[in-house]
Amino acid sequence: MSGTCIIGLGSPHGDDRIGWEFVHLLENEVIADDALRLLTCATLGGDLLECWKHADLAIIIDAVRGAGAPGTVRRISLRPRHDPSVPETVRALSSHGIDLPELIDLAEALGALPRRLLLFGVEVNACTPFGSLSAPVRAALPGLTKAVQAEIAAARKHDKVI
Amino acid sequence: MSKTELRINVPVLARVEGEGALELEVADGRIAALRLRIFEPPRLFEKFLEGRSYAEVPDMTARICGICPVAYQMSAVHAIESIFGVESGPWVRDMRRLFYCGEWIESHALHIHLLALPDFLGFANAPAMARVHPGEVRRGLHLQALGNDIIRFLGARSVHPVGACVGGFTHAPSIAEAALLRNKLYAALPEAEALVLWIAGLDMPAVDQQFASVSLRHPQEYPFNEGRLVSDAGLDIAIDEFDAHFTEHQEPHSTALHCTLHGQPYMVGPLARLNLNYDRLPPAVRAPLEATAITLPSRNPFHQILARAVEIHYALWEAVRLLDAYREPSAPRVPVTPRAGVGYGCTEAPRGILWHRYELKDDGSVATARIVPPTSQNQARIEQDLRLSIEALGLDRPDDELRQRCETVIRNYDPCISCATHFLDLRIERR
Repeated sequence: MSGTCIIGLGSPHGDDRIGWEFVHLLENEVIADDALRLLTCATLGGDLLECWKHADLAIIIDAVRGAGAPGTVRRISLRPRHDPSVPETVRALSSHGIDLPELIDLAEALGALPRRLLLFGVEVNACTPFGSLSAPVRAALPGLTKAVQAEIAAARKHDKVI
Repeated sequence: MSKTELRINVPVLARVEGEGALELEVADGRIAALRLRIFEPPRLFEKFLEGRSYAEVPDMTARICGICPVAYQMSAVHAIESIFGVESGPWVRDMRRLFYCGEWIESHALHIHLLALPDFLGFANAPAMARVHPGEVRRGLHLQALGNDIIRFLGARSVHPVGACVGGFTHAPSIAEAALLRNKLYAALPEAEALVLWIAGLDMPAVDQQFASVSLRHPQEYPFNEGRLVSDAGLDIAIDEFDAHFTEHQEPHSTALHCTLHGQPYMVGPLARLNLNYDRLPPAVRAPLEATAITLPSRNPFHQILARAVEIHYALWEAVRLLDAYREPSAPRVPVTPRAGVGYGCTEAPRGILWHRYELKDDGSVATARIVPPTSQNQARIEQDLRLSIEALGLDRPDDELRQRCETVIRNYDPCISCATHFLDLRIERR
């Protein structure tokens, strides 16, 4: 296993864009980094499994609601659903066809899980149709970038130690 | 009197496109009431579109659905171009077929492997099925990813693509990109053929129902964007004659409009298309199906999953054909001049015909819009199928078995609530 992939989940609607916006930000900053794979998607399926299946670390960025003020960032380590430590809130994140916990189970069944899987959830406000990010959610981007870059750096350090 | 109330509620979930419930009431061994309720977002979009420029319509309608955005874009651009009197030319025509190939492949592969197959193979969900059939699920997800690659080729991203516009596309991919994609798709043709044979061999309920199939029909091609509206009951009309034969009406139990053909339910979607257009498939795509015991036209609604597999095979084959002939155009779109008028677009979304009607003002802004999506057209047929299927199974069967059959029947049509029906809550009251 090698490399890191960053996956922005979302839609074009208001604060639900946060995952996509974050990946676009990385595209502009670190596009030359071959070890980093970037993906934006709205539905879960083959694309995502293909992106993360051989990764050492996969990080999902998505909108979440219900556990803090808009712009609050939560870091959650994801494992297959049969692990009771998976927070119940994660199960509310679903998409057309298959939800994230089910996709993780599916990836495990197919031997296509990355070594480590993290979710950075950003508390969102209004997911207005065709709208842009609200100010508090946009303000979360610099902190989110630092946190994700720290995870990537730590994963690379770990690779070198091995 | 014995009475069973079967109530299936689908909770509202983030980014699940649809809300539905099934209410079933049985009295004296007969179905007293059966109501399928579906809430459909497209009803809101018709009002959103009023006052917007024609140029915004393809991108706005694409966001009605994350699974079939191409269908919404294609019905919209054809309707608007018919008002402006635009001839977009052979390159655009071919690329619109290719774009649609991608959507059919990704949508059908998702539905077969993650939504419908667990029903037919006796698993609670896709991950449980994948533990027993990993190779088949991997193959299905690979096919789905190829469909997304095609959409990305023309639309920059696979969900809510942005490449289509009135007059053509905003960008023409290079010959090198086309060759790369063509080779990936060509290599997957054996996978699609194997999928057809595998699905044809599934143990499906033997059902024989009377229903009308409705689809587009083109003089030479298996239909995507063009053709007349036909049925196996003699309908043969231009798409602008839709209102003379099809009637949308409100049912008290549903926020989605029901649509009937001459007052009767009808089926749209892959099996309806295949029933009416089998002779338009190339021999290479008919061959694996002809090696099976299944004959067409089929009156078994459960053959919809097989029709999806056949259409994946066809869409791959057609995409390779179109890419083999790919040339970079001098321009990816033709210029358009707005003018007032009324126009119609009807194309074959993965789930069936998607009919649009627009009235535009002189400046090309939308005066009125009407969108009739396939799920609302299938709604009365699903209710009819549920009634027949449950009666055939036996109303005295255990609740779990009845619920499972109801869910299988609903999912079989791939309605926009199919994802939500994985979360069905069942409450049963027996008195």
